[in-house]
Amino acid sequence: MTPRSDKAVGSAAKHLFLGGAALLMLLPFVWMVLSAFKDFSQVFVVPPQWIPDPMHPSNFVDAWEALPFGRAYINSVYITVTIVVVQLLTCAMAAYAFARIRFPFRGGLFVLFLATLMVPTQLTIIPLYLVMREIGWLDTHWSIIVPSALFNAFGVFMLRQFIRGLPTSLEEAATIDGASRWKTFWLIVFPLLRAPMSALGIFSFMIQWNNFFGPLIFLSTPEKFTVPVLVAQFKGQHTTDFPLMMAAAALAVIPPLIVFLLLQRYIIEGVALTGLKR
Amino acid sequence: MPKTSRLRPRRLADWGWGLAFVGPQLVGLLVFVLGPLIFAMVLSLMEWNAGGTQRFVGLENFEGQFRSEEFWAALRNTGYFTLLVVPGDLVCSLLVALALNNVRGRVVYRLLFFMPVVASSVAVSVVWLWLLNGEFGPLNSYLRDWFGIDPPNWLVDPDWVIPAIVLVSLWRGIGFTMVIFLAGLQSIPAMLTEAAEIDGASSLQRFWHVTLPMLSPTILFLAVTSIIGSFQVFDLAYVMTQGGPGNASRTLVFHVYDLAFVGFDFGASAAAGAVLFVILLVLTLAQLWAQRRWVHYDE
Amino acid sequence: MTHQPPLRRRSFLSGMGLAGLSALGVGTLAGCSGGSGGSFGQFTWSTWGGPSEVRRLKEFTEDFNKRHPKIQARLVSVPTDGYRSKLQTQLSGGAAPDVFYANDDLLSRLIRDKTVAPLRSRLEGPGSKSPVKDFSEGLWGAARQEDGEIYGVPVDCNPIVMWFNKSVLADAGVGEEPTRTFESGNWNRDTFQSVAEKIRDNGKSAAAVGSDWLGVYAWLTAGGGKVYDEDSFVAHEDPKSVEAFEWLHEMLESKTFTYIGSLPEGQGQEALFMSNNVGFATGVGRWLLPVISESSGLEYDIVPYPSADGSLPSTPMATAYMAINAKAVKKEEAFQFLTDFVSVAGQRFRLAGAGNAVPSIEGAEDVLAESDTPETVQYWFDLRAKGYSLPIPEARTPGLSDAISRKIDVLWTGGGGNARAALRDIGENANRMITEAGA
Repeated sequence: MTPRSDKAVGSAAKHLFLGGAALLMLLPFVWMVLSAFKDFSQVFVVPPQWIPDPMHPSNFVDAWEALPFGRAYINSVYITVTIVVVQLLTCAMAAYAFARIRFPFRGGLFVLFLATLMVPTQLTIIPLYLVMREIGWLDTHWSIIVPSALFNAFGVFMLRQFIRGLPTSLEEAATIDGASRWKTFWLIVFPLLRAPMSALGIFSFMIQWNNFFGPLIFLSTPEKFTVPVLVAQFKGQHTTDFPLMMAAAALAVIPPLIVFLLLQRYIIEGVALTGLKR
Repeated sequence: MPKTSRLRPRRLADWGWGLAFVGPQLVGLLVFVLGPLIFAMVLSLMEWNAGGTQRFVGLENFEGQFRSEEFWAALRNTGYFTLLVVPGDLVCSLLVALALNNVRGRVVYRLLFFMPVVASSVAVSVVWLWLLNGEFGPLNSYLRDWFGIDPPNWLVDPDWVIPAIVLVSLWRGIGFTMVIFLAGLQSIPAMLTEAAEIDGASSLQRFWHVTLPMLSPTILFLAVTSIIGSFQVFDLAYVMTQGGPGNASRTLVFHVYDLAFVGFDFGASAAAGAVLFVILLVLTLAQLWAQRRWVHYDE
Repeated sequence: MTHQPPLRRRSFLSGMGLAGLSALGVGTLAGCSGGSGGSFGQFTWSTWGGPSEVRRLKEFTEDFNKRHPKIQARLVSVPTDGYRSKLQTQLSGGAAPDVFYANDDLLSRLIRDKTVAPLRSRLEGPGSKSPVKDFSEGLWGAARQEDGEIYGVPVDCNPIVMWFNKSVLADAGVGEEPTRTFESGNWNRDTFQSVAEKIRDNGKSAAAVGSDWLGVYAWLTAGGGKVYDEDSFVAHEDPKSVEAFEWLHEMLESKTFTYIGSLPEGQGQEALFMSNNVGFATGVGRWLLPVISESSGLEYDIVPYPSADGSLPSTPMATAYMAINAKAVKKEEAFQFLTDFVSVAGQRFRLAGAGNAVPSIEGAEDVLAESDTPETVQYWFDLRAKGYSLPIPEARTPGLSDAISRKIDVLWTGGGGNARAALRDIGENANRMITEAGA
């Protein structure tokens, strides 16, 4: 077999594997979106029927009008974007310090960061509520924005791993040239973090966008609610408004998908553009 | 002597820089996480209810937990879940990431694999409740009609409920892990693999001797975070099964939630949470300790 | 290339030291302060529910504010899934709403912790639009203490019935509709069983059953058995209850009935029912109506559970209570809202149109008759007069309902062996939990 045909076979196998797996990944999603076009009786047909007949596109309008979604989207977008931007910067800074700067308690602090990854929200929610009450942030968006913007142990850990994987030669050269720590970080290291920060940004956006527990507990004015809180409201005490919930959930997926589409490019290009590698 | 005097200022400056860089995140850590956590730890030594009566009871809450059947069931289920989901997630995601790394149409593939990650967990759980429904859900209908298998009644069968939740977790998690792997793969200098190829290494050899070691910091990161994540599995057990049937899908965090908000016992809940925290701390420290054997840093 | 040493023990210890320092910072946060207040009789109230219910409640609140210019009530609707966590967190933080919904077990606990205000004297007072006697006895349940004090008022109710699918029954050759059998006094367990077997022999499932108290206790008490006495679980010692429980287990074992699983409510019954796969949906109240009424061509009605002698049975009722926060500053205004909410006019307003519940107060019955409903509405009121809400010992024991339901769940999924032994185990465990909670 020639190397060329070898490659062709390999690539075909790759596509077969990826295509099959992607299809499996997609099916529950497709079901969700198709259900958004059904009425109650069509959702519950046995055996299952995938394509709704007739279609009920009005579900999307009904879902949108059933609850104040317009307001909730504005809230969710600005809260999420603020958190992600501030968080990326503070995480990168802390990660740089943990990876490259020697200072007292560095190891201990890092363990502390890691340890907090292990704290389930359900354990600390009541004390956190008391903290918010003392600061006076209950029923304000600050209670959602500040804790997440200023703290993401996962992000610090992730970026630290990447920074430690970078060659130190460039930074050393900058230091010899007399650049300050901040300059070294901002001009040399930060640009190199484009790829991991895109990944972190995507993921952080998605987590914050879907954050249900925080807004649920801290916010008490319906006008301040975020999208996930409203989507969950389609689930009543005894029954769930299936079609409307699916329609609302399908609409709620759009913003994080857009962010993914915008940022995923940088995961590929980020490192290559620095001219260091490839 | 002259040597140290030259080093001092640089070192002191570094201390300042270090704290300044860590500062914002440190404030967040202390105020919003560590403070509440310590409060919860204090709570674990108290009898405490919503009405505000508080009484110090020492280790009673912990003893209560160690005697409780439900606590051990939760621990077992969580361990089992972790054992299935962490290797499954890492292996599947790495395979997908490797296949995706240099392939035509990768933008579309990446999007498809990532889509489950962005959906809200309430909606996802509702969808899967239906897909996995043993009597009339699509999955079992197709297994019966197309493959002639007599499928288990997933979420209602004590033996199958954890594997079913693992399935949903993998579906939801692969896209995320894959993205991290992709970012890791991108940071491997192409010249390394090219050099190995010129030296006549087969693709398997290249993977084993170049890609995998270069990827090891990423793998460590994912191993640590996905073990932590899987030990904290909550929303699937909460929305899909309420820990049932019986206690077959009661997980530790569900147990923590259940004790506090259904059983009204904040002290016991905090005690169970504290145990979970210690377990994760030990596991993570063990992994960090073991990393020197296999993780490769370019420094 | 060097290998950075991993974290050392010393680092770990220094981390823990830092943790200790920040502990000092939160020590002062433990205190609690009063509920929310405000000028002009302003207060908040909070509830769960789906969008259509919430919209109706919002309209009610606006209407109330218009009728009471000096009071400003504000509705905070919370997703059902997070209601309990949110309310308890708010109560712990001393910032809970002034008026709120609570179900049986939550209310019991709040009564014990003295976090809800007594209501009896106000309910019996001159300003009340909802005197105690206007509600059926069985509805007070966990809201009323032994001394007669009342801490919550049922906002509406859902007597548990069996919904039947007419075409599934007709296809199976069931000539007479269950409603007619009931009217002629012959709707007993034997007649029901023969109907059930016809449906099973026709390849369908006769009934979908659950493992929650509403679904299971209905069978036991309809058969004349008892589940609780004043202060303990007795079903495992009551021959009629044991017999009914064993019968129910047999029906599941013989696949005459289908178990809908430990899925959250509202995830299984309607699917089977609407797709003509099951004859009877059981253990459900009127909340099924908005769902199944969307299905065109589906014909259905309700019938009470079959009793031993064909008479009207005493079966469970699902209900939620409205309570007032003990720390509420504007108690008088809060009560005015509460009594208006549960009054005849209030329930008429809330349940007009489709509605997914039955009024809890006497005098508002016509609201169902007026709204052109497909089912035999009279049964709702007959059952309301004879029914019971969650038995008090169960309501007062945190986690008991859940523990019982989990054990039944195991039995129904084929893991519990013999029904009599399982019920004994359930009973003994229940009484242990009741004793522990009382101590």
